[in-house]
Amino acid sequence: MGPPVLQRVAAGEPGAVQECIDRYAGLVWSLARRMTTNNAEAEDAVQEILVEIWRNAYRYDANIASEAAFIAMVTRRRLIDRRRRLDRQRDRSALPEDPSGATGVPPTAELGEEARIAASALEQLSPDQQRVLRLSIYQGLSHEKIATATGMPLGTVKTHARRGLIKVRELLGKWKSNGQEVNS
Amino acid sequence: MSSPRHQTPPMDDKILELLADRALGELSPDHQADLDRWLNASGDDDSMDLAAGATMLAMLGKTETPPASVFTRAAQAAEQFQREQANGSYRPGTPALRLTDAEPPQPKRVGTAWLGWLAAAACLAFAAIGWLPAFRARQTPQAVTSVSLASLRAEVDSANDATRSPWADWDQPEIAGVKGEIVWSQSKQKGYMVFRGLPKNDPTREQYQLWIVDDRGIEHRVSGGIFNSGLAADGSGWRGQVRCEFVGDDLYVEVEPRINVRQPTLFAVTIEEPGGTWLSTMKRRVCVAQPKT
Repeated sequence: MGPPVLQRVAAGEPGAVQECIDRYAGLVWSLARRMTTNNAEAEDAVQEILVEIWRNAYRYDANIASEAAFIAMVTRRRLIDRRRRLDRQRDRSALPEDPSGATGVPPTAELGEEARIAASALEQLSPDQQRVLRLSIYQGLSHEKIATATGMPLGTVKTHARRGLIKVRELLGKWKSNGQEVNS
Repeated sequence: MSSPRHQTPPMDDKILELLADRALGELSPDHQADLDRWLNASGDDDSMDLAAGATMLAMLGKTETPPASVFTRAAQAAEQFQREQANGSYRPGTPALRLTDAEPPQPKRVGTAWLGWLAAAACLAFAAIGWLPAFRARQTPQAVTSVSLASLRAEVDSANDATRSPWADWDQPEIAGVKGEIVWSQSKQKGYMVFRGLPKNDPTREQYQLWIVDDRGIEHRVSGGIFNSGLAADGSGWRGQVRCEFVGDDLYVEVEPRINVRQPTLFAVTIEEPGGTWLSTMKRRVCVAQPKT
């Protein structure tokens, strides 16, 4: 098995950028669809995010995380950045429609081992914690909007989101400390 | 990404909550300073961001096939990126068109891969996203007390091929009525802009960016610099990515394309996110200048 495609992108290997598009444009698109309000905005975001990924490809270390996890992290950050910027420019009081809803199916292998660990961690959370995390992470809603949509007090929403994410982080840390290898 | 808890200095619950808020995009300005202090002392920690990314992947379950237009635009972006790689203007860790404090990659050390990743992830955090508090702190505009562009102006003005092009309103400008000119020397690949009536911007919210279009067309536009219009407390210019200074009411800004441009056919100024952008939508328009050919 050759070097991960991100390392080859960083090295300027011919064809690597196209391979990266073929392999991960669908992932970036799928994530972008959850945190944008329409397809046009998602397309803008994907283009921006792919460039960001290529420019930072040299930072990827296959010993630390899967490419999917690395890309998901960069993508989320960029989407949050965009959301903040766009929120300043327009009224986004309407809740974005979840294009398809969380699938509820076990993550496929292409999404990386961390996704499986995270899915396992989510099962250990209370239903309310799962709901809040889904609205926050998957649909990109602010805590305030989640409070409005669910009727939960804002403080409760914050607590659920924080504790839920901290739990996922702890399980990922334990999995890593047990010497699990991460395959791209 | 970040190190797991067992390999990092102990974190109290407050820090964990702040990291969680940041990863969820919910860190309030009031708490940014608290997190900055901790990050400055211990280095950045992206483990929470990795957890958020993994959680999103878990909820996603599977990927969707994007529409064909996504691949078309991705290919256009790839072409531009690869051109940048090929001509040497791509420098890992120092994106040409973004403000960043990212460091070049360090050699990997055996047995400390996780720590190396932590450092790299911290750099990535600074490079990739403007909202990270630590990046914000670095991005806070700094007053520059010695920004005279007199020598640059003299050098450009004396060039045989210097062209002076007046600013005009762009089609559907967000800001209209900006006056001034751009002076450019093709042989020296240097220039400067003069603005009158360019409103002061808040650099933490948005910045101005110059685009140079040459005979390859607007799709191949090149950033000519990210800059601000405003004054620091000491009267000097806020520094963007390029040098600027006020002379009376006139704002002078250096033009600094990071790659060579062919004969310009259009100069255009847009409003972009802090740090500028690599691929502008060109939707937030200010002014344009068309060189005489």
